[in-house]
Amino acid sequence: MKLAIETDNLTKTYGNPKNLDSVKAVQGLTMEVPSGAVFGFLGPNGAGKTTTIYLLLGILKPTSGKGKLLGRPLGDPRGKGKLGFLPESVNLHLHHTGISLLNYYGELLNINPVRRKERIHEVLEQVGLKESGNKFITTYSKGMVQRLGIAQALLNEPDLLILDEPTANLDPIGRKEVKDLLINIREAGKTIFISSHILSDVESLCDRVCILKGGKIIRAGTMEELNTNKGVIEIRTKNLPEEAGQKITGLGAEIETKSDENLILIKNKEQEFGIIEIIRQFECPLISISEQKNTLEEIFYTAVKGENP
Amino acid sequence: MTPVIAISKDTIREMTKRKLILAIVIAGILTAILFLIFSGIVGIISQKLVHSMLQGRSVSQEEIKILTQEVNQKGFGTLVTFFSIAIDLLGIFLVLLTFSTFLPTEIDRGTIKLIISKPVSRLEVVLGKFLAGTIVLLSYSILMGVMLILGSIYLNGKVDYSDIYGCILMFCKLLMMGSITMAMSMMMRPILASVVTFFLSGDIFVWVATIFYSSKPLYYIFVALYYILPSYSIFEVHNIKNLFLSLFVKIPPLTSGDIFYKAGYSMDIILIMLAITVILFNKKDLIQ
Repeated sequence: MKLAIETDNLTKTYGNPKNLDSVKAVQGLTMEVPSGAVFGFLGPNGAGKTTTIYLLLGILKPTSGKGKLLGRPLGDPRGKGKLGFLPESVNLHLHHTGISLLNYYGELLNINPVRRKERIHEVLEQVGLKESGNKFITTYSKGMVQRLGIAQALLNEPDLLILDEPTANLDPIGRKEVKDLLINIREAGKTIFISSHILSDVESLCDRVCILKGGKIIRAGTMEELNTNKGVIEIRTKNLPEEAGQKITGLGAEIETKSDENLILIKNKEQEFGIIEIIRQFECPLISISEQKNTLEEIFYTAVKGENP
Repeated sequence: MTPVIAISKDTIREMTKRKLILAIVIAGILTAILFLIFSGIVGIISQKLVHSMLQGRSVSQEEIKILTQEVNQKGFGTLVTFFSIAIDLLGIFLVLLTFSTFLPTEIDRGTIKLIISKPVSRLEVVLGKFLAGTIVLLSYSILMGVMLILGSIYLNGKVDYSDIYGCILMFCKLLMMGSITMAMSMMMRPILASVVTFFLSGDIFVWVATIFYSSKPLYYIFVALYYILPSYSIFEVHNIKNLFLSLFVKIPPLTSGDIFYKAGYSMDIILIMLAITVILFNKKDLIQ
């Protein structure tokens, strides 16, 4: 399996590790992000997410441990040619216009002038800033700065995209557009490493998730591995007579009725067949049978707080 | 090499948008223009005084010298000296203001994160910033040099090579100060780095050493500090101020040997300071 990111016992301590007031931001982080994966990097505030991203990019120096980014050691500039990065707070050089800033980053990325010009127009169109490209960044709104930040991250058609809170500062329409953009990038087989507080976005985009707390990984795996069953079976039916309902509740199941549709919740799996038999006896239609899964929000809360929301 | 040039270009572009830097450059240009105007006034008055004093006799160098001294006594010399010092000081302000903030500003406002996320090494960032500062200082020195040469031609009717040498030395001194303040800015706040750079000169310790002449251990320590720390005074001998005075009084001309020796000295310090900057910047966490 080809890896886009790998870390081995990566540790970052702010301040002198021997001092009591030092802060262990990341502690022995070992993780692997396969190429082509969409990796959700979650955790409460102060969990060490941004510090980890800065370590991956070489913005911070690790206290100990090592890692690789696109096959190159952390901090090696040669590993960043096909990398796109969007920081949590997008700080840009304010003396530029949108186009001149992208041109500057294009030069740093060593994109040839002709291709650079094409790409600048492509990415500005992708993020909806085509009309504002010639305006100075000082005139941009927060949302526009965020979009420009995304544009610079996409400029070099990256194989690996590291995004720290990509939908922050965006209105609902902007969030939807960015999500759609990321879906397109995912479909192109690129690797996306996304750190976000908006769990619904992560849930719909990511195929792997890692939850960080106190600088340590507390849960990690594919969405399938993490989406554990709640142990509750849902049976949907229609027009359930009162007598049938009494029989079903008598077996210990719960019934929720909305208009003519009935949702039967079974906590004891052994009762499943008995309840289905009752539904058949009363000739009610069996719409669906499914097992209730934990949402990412529930998984996150359970992992971080050790309790349900 | 591309990232170095790109960073350098961007830094110069940003410098042109900084009002304080623009103010210094404009003040430098205005000072230089006033410099030329006063050169002209001095020249005209000198000629008139020569005619009135010598009453048609041929003018010897000795008589010009006497006349110039009279002009100086009437106040023009003071003004001329003031302007020449102003050009030198403006250059120093320009250096301290720019080189001390190049790297800390990128870190403080967070823009370094996006630069480092590109295939750019930390060495290239330092070199790009230094190159930008070098280009700005070179432009400043050339501009002032042209003004000096014009003044020299106006008063002497020929180009004095000391003017060119003087400007080379000013450039070397300013670049040396720039490299020192850049290294200092990796260890302390920019304002403090500027102050330390200004006073870091080993020249101070010559004076201190003379005070402690009777106390031999301290004397030797201060003498050692004079030799260890960079010296700005070796560039002062024929700086702009003296160059201007050289238009009136005879100063032994600078030789190309002086220039090579002094430029070599500054290059030495610059390389050491750049190496220190790169080492410190490489170890640094690039967040506020």
